[in-house]
Order: sequence, then structure tokens, then C-alpha cells
Amino acid sequence: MKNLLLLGDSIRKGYDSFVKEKLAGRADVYFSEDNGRFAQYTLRMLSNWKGELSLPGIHVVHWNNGLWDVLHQAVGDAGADGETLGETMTPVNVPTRRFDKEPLTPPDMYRSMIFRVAVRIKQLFPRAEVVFATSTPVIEEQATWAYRSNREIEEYNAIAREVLAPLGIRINELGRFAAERCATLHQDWVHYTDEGSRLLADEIIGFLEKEDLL
Amino acid sequence: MKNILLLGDSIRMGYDSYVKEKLANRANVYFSEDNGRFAQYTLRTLSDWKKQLSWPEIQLVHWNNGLWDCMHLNSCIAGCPPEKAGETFSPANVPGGLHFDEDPLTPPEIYRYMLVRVLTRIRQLFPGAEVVFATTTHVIEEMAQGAYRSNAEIESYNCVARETLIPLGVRINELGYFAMQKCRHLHPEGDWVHYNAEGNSLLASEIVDFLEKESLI
Repeated sequence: MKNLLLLGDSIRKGYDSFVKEKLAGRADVYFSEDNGRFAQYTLRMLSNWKGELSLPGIHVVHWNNGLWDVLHQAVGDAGADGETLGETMTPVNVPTRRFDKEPLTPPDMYRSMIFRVAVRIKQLFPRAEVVFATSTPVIEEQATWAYRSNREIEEYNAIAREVLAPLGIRINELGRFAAERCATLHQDWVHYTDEGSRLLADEIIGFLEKEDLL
Repeated sequence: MKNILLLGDSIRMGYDSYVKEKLANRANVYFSEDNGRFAQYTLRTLSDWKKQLSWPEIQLVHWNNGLWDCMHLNSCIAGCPPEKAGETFSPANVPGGLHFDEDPLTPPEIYRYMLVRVLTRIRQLFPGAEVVFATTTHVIEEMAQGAYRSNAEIESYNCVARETLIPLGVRINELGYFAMQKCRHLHPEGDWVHYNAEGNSLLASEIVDFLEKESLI
């Protein structure tokens, strides 16, 4: 049986136990209880998680970072005065709030960090096939404490394809699948209901089967 | 009494309770139990800490990020073959031929950028607070294993911090310089980064002295 490692943020935390359940008897599925957050966080923590989980030889790594990276945090909630706010933005479809103009991880930094995470995965799991899952879309107008735009999510997904495909990493278009099949299955503006997370797990297994990775 | 917020990594976690103790009845000292880690981590998490800990209005923020940023993680800890190792280097003074990432966790230009963003966030969340940045403390390079840091690089990161933050009105507490002079023999046995109780108490005294000298308490 193959050993499969799932890496990623709270979207991964939504589907990880469903993937494990659906692959019972076919593959052993591993994941950390820690949230993989943004790319630099995963870069720093991956070797720690490997040690903490006492992982066996891993054959497939299914990984995403992106939703934390494209995040624009809200500013001004604390009543900051104008001169300390820094550069902000107010999206037309979220007119009552101000957010950081810059995402948490600007695009060039995202590009360099996902490359470095890919190298780290290959260092720590040298025989593993690596799959990158694209980031899933959000309901922009429900943003409150932070904002993400679907246009930017798509830009970050394009960066991931550009950087990772030439390294031999397979791209699972999970974001596209979620846009088509899970748009009505949100429990909030980002995450999915159990029904949505189960569908994502099915898509992941379908992808791994199609790619002959199970 | 003023409300002081301490931000930073495990060096801060070493001295925070000593600062609180030394300032008892003179200032209220606040800090998170979470490690501030690297600059981008502090940027992302600071508003969460503020919410979770219900801090009152803060008059002074004493902050550091740097030791996680300039860290080169060990590349071959998993025994991976060299072709998987990416770009690595082996410092001459670290025994055992260990390979470390060529790039630090946060390259210098990203560190520069993130410091400005953390400062902006501090000023958003604690408007009106004076901000002090403490320089990063040195390490015992040749004891590096799971990761490597060089004192030359720590000093270059401290230069980046001074260059970036002084023009923005941040006061610099040369804690790294103080630790090099006064605390270099005060590391716990087997530890290349952190300080023992005596060292942490000295760092806390230096911080209190700096705040007094700057008339911030």
C-alpha cells in the first residue's frame, strides 16, 4: 500500500479525513493537525511535521498553499488614524471595509516560496511523486476580517502552474473543480460543508487514480 | 501606568517574564505565549493575538524578528540524495559536513519588506504607541545542527532593520550588541541560541534601562 501525505491549509483540513476514509484498505493517508497556512510557514514547518508524525517512506505528496498567501487583512478595525494605516484598498463588492493593499505574500515572493517548498518536499520525501492542488475560489462579497479576490486566486494558481509543472510536479485543478461543483456547498466564504469536502476528496482520489498514483 | 507590549521570538519568551517582574508597579507588561517566529508570521498573527488576549491600549511596543528569518534549515536531515538537496552550503566551522539551505528562510530583501509591513500593522493596531525594535542576538555558530545561522548574517539583518526602521521613527535597542558583550557565556548547556536564567534576567535589565534612558517609562 502506498503512503500518501496531504499538505495544505484549512481546505485540506476539511477533506483530509474524508480522503483517509475513502482510501481505507487502498492507501495509508497522513497529515498534520497543524494548518499549513502560507507558503513560508509550510517551508519552515515541514521538517518539524515529518519528525512529529514519524512518517514512513512517502510515495505521494498532495500539497496546496495559496489561500493564506493571497489574503488581504482588514485594517482600521482598531480605530487606527489615517496616517498609520499604510496603503489600503476597498473592493467595490465589499464597500464598507478597508484591507491591506498588499496580499500577505506578494506574487513574486509566492513564486519563490512555492519553489522552495517544492525543493523541501523533494529533500524530505525523495522518492515521492508530488501533486499540487490549485487554490479554491471564495465568496468575495462575504469578506469581513480579511479579503481575497477570485481573480487574484487565479493569478496565484497560474504562478503555481508556471513554477511547478517544469519541476515535474503534477497539477490537480482542484480550484476549477470546486468552482464548478462546490459553489453552493460553502459553510462560510472560504470553507466547504461536509458534502463539499467529500466531493473534494472524491476529486482528489479520482485524480490520483487517473495519474496511476494509487 | 504605561502598558507595554513585548513582541518577538523565543529570545523574547526567555526575558518577557523578567521584564514584567522588574517593572511590577511601574508598568503593565503584556505578551503572547505564542512565539512570534519570523516576520511574516508576526505580520499575519499580530491582530489575532490582540483579539485573543484583549490587550488594553498599548503605549509602547518592544519588538524583534530576525533569528527565524536568517535561519538556514538543514537540507539533508532526511538523508536525501544530493540531487534533491537544492542549493546548499556547508559552513567551514560546523563539524560533520552538514548541508544547509543556501538561502535563509527569509532572504534579506523580503526581510526588509516584511519589517515595514509589521511596523505598519503595529501602528494600525496600536495607534499612538512608541515602537522600539531590538536587534537580534548572536549565536554559537559551530554548534549548529538542525539549522544554521551566522553572526555575520545576523549583523547584516540588524543593519537592514536599522536602515529600514529608523527613518520610520522607530527607536533601536541594540540588544544584540549588549548580549554579545554581556551574555556570551550565559547560554544553557548544549544550546547555541537561547540564554539561561541569568542571561535572560540581564537582557530584561538592559531593556528596562533602555526604556528609562529613552524616557519611555
